[in-house]
Amino acid sequence: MTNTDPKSFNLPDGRILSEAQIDNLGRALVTLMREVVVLNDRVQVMETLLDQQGVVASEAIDTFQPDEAYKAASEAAMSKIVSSVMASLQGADGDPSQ
Amino acid sequence: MNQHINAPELRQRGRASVDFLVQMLKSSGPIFAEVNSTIAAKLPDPSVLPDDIEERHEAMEELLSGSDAFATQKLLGDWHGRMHGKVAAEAFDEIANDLVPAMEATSKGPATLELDPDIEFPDYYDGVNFHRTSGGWTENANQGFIHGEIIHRKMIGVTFPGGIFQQRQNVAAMAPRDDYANILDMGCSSGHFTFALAKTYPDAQITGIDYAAEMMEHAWRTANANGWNWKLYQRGAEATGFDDASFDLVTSYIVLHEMPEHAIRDMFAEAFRVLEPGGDLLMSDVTRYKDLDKLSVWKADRGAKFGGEPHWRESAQLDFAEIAREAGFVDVKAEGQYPHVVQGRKPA
Repeated sequence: MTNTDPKSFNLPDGRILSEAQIDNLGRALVTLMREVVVLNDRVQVMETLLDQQGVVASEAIDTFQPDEAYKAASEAAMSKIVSSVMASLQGADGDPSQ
Repeated sequence: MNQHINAPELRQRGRASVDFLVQMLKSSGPIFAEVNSTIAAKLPDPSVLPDDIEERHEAMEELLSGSDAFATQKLLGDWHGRMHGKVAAEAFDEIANDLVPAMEATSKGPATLELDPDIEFPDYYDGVNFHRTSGGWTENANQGFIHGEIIHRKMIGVTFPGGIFQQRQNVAAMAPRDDYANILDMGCSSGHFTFALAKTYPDAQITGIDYAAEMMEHAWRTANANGWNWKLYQRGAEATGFDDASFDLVTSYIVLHEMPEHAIRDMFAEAFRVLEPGGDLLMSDVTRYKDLDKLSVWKADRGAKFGGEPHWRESAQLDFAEIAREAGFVDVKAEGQYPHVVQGRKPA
């Protein structure tokens, strides 16, 4: 017989990452942020090309060069992602306004 | 894709990754502001900070230990330092095949590049990844292109106050004469300041030296692309091997902070030796610590400490004007914070 609350097994306490590993977690997070940004950019390029040409060709995506309108849209989207993750790093759970 | 040796077009992954690094910097404004706000609230009088710079680092770390914004600033700075060179190299690899015709075309022309297969790098340089650029200046055979065209032009240049290339042009025009016959650019690297010299003094024979052959190869290609007859040599600035009185202008652009004091003194002495009587000196570098308050020195020194600048602190505390006078120069003047420009003349 034990006095341990069985419900504590629902969310067991226990440290997962060591102090040294926490820095690497932060680095991995920024690395992931880069990949999300790159992927998001690629989707935007595809959508832009689909709209312009009605067909998607990988070479066309690879060689796409942004015009001023695209640059503005890309920067806005990129800023939203980066700001959101930066806010999370500061404990705001992804809400940049916090 | 048809590519040019200068201002290349990147493929999608490389372009978006470079844009991401730029966006990281742009999005960091509120974080820097929050850190500054915390400092202002906790440290109304920065003059009370320790005189010793290492102790100042400890005091500031303690002061900001609970700041989430400072932790975020450190994380982003660390990632940028570790990754910017890798991202740029990856972006280059994506366009390497596209660049082959441009590389072949710029392998021919009036410029020369003389390498020294037996060159020995000094301890202050050998194995150092300046700016934390992965592999330093020498491990990647295309580092001159990578650093000059991707890191400088597409990352740093996008947000650099006043324009990173315009700044070089402005400094090149500061030399006292309207024209020169023989100019030596010490530490010419990938040739961005050398380019400004060529634009400013189109009739001059321009010579450039640097330890890194990989960086100078891009300067060589740039000269060939523009039809310029630059003479480039893989040599150190402390002992160039040129005859006495070979040049009428000797320059260096923001190189001195990559060198310790003894090498800087040797470089000024060598500049004096290779200048003809009446020749001009035009050196520039980063802000002197004596021109900054204690808090600003901490910021600059922290940037150096975590930004791959092992000699910045030693160099930034030197009085270059005094070193120029001790080397024999007269009419020495030093002006400006960044870049800090030192000029002098070898007596006629």
